Amino acid sequence: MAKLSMYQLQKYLPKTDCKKCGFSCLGFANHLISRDVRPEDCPILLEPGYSESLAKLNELLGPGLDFEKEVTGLLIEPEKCNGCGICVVVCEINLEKSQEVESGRGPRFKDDVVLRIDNGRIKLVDPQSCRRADPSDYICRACVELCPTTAISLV
Amino acid sequence: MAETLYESVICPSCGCLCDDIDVVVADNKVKSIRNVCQWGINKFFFTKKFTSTVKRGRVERPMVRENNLVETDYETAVSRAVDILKRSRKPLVYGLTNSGYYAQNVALDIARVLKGWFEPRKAVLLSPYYSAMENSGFYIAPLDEVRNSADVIVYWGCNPVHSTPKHLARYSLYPRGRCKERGNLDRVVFTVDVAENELVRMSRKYLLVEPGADFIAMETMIKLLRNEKVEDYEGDIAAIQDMVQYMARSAYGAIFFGLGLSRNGNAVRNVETLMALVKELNRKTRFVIIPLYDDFNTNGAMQLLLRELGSPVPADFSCDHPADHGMPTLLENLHEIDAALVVGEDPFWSMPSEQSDLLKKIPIILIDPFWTRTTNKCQVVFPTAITGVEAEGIAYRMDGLPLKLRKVLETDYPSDEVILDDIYQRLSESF
Ligand code: SF4
Ligand code: SF4
Ligand code: SF4
Ligand code: SF4
Repeated sequence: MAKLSMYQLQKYLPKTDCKKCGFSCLGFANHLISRDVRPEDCPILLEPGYSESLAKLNELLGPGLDFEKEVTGLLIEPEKCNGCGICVVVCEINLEKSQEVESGRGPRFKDDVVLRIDNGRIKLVDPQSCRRADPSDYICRACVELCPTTAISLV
Repeated sequence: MAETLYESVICPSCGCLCDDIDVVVADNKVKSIRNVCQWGINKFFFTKKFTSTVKRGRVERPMVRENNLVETDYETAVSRAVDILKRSRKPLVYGLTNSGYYAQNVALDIARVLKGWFEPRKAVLLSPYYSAMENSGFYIAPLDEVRNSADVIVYWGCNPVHSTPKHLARYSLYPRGRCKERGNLDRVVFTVDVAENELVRMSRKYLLVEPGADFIAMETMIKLLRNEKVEDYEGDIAAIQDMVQYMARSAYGAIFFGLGLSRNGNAVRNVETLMALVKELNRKTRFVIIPLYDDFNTNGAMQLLLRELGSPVPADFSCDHPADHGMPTLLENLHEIDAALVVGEDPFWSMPSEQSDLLKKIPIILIDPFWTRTTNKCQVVFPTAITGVEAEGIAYRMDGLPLKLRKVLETDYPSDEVILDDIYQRLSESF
């Protein structure tokens, strides 16, 4: 599956920046990508006249909550996680995308990484960049094996 | 609603003082936060440690006891606190491990003018560590050096996954360093504790010891290092031999220890023996030893005692030589105390009941942002800003590095430093 960009999704948003969702339209698009919101969380999209955009967004985004599992085969149970950051530091893709990770620090705010500690718990922010998303790549399981609380497992 | 992003904020929760926290603030509330662990997040959302869904109740206004605690204004609370302290023959100044360095400094001055007893929390465990450091060499290094060089990591009597959650990822096993480019693949971990914990999976050997009897394992290791005969060790001698061989052959090792060493009242003996072990190891290779603090500025309080009194023990200002009283623990001293000033600590939760029962009999002045088990037992209660979130301050990381804590939220509560300073000013006027 091709990687979604927020600009691609923004095209189908109302672009009013009314902030009823709590973000700007572009911000909302970003949260759509990380799957913390669904297109239906934008009240404007539910109004008549936007049904085509809504359908298109849902098509682009795929099947919602199970998405990260389907793409990566990783089952994440944030309620078990204590935010120790081990998975963030051992993930090789994180390391490629953020220099900070090398020395054990969390990625900088602007860095696009795969795994990140958000509000004290793990979040798979970009499942499509995980090595497991690409079947031709080597089957990585570093985060699964090294998580001390078993918050990440294989489906 | 305007959002402000504060990058690389220091987390004021445990002695790791992680400096990679990104906080988004909107409407004077933390909206989201990155890179902080489950323990640290509570400082920013005012929730309970490890149950970040449960809000903690903040003390809203200063309170004094009539029959019950009643709200009052700040001035009245200060006067009442000063009265209590002035009437006391020997007050206790206690806690302070969640305060900035300057607040600790003023608290020490208060104890000094009142000829009282000054004790940071956990001094029982840490005084012997610092004393041994003084006597036998300075086996400490910046955590960055540990990250760059250590090939052996030992956790003794502590579980970093709970007490200092990001320690493993940020400072010890997992980060990559100059000579350790593959991170955890270039290091090994040994763990010593009384029961198995999450570190089992990461450890090359996991040595189990009887509670409080860590020193027996340490003495055995010292003997092995000296090539002396060991005949009488009753535990897992194979694990000890492996550990000793590995440590002696390593190029650079780091031992982190925690409260587990104080089990069964054996803190002093355990820590002193551990220091002897480190000394022995340093004959063969380089080993450093660093305590894991679960309060963020325990180290600041110990550094303060070292700097002001030249000795890392609780200070008894009723003697001519405040550091020379030969009584390491609070319990032995508590019956002499007739008032207490407690800062950022909850003795009725953390002290054994034989100690807190003694505290019940005396007037207590409390400075703390939250309601705790102690609040209701006090004569005077001051609400305060949270250092590192609502007030600035200086804190000393576990390796001794001083760091400047920032403020990301506005508040009307005074910082503990301001409250302590007001009390101190009023006291010094009257002496
Ligand atoms: S609610 Fe919809 S239209 Fe309004 S800012 Fe959010 S995404 Fe844009
Ligand atoms: S499976 Fe590998 S690439 Fe994917 S998130 Fe985990 S560590 Fe990173
Ligand atoms: S998922 Fe596991 S390794 Fe990652 S931060 Fe949470 S507890 Fe640590
Ligand atoms: S390890 Fe300690 S300092 Fe670091 S984020 Fe967690 S509580 Fe804060």
